[in-house]
Amino acid sequence: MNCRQTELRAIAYLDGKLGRKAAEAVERHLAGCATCAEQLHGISEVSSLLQGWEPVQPSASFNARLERRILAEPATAAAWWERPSLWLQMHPFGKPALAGALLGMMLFAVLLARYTPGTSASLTANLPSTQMVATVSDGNDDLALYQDLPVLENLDLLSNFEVLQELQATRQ
Amino acid sequence: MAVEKAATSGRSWGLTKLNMNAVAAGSDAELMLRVKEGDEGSFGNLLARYRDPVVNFLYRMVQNAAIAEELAQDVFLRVYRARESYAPSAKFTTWLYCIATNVALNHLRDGRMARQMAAIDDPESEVGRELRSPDQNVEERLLAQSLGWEVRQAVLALPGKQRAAVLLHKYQELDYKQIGAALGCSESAVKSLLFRAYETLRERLSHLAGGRS
Repeated sequence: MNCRQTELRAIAYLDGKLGRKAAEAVERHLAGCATCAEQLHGISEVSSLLQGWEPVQPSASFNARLERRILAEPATAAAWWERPSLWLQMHPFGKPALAGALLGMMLFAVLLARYTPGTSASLTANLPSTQMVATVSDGNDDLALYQDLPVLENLDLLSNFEVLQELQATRQ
Repeated sequence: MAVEKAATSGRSWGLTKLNMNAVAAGSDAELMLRVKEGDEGSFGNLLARYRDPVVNFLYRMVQNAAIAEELAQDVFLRVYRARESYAPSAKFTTWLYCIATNVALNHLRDGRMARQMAAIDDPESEVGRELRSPDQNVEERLLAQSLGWEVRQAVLALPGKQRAAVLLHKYQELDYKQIGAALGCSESAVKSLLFRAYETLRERLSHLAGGRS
């Protein structure tokens, strides 16, 4: 056994927790190694010194303070998301009823979305489509038509106006 | 929930009157399992068994009686909070000192130690808390005070993990496996840690040890 191996066994040796063979091996090493022997002797003395460290007595209010903290525990320790809601506590049906109601509402919402006609159209109602742009364009044409209405009203007269036809013939 | 019932009804847990016959109340694991089932008295029994050892372990770790008590309160509060997840897979004391060690090491790591250094219990007040031998004269008492102070300072100067290992070994009498569980290291690492810690103490206290021999 070398010094390192003795170090690892030193405390157990001083505690008397080594087996007979291991203890004898330590003793053989100590007999031939003054450094290790001195170390173990010193550690044994330190252990005796520590023995003199008397315990202290907890204060008389220790248990009362702990009791107060334990009794206050649910209010301070549990975060709001850990606590059952007031609604759940008051509701006579409790959690199964709430779960059933939520499931029913989700099912209803899915069915409503699936079978309501024009759902997709209503969803896109606010988007500018090509159809809408065309409608706006047509509207502008109508507006121009109304503005030129007096001219259009005289279109036949102007197109059959003989004086104008003669004027064109003169130019040619 | 038992605590909620107690809180709303204003009922006392009776922790102020410890059951000093707690030894006869069952094993630690049995008591803890009863606490898990809502038995408040069993928690009182566990407190009766372990309050003083835990307070003293923490006191030796931080060397301030008031802080040690506060930390011990945290330890028992954590035990109480963990009651529902408790499973007796390891010894109760291993679990308890694992919590206590973590609480102490966290306290030391938080840097509060620096502020606390000025407030470490001085030898006069400290000895006043300890039992005095009526046979000691003034000179012997002063010598004992001085000796005790040096020993405490040497322990305080150890790194947190080494300090915890020495205290759990020397005063709480935990075996190497339990100390390893509390410190999160192997049994052989504990033996090595203990040797280094005792060796450091030997070097620092060699003048005292020599004087005694």
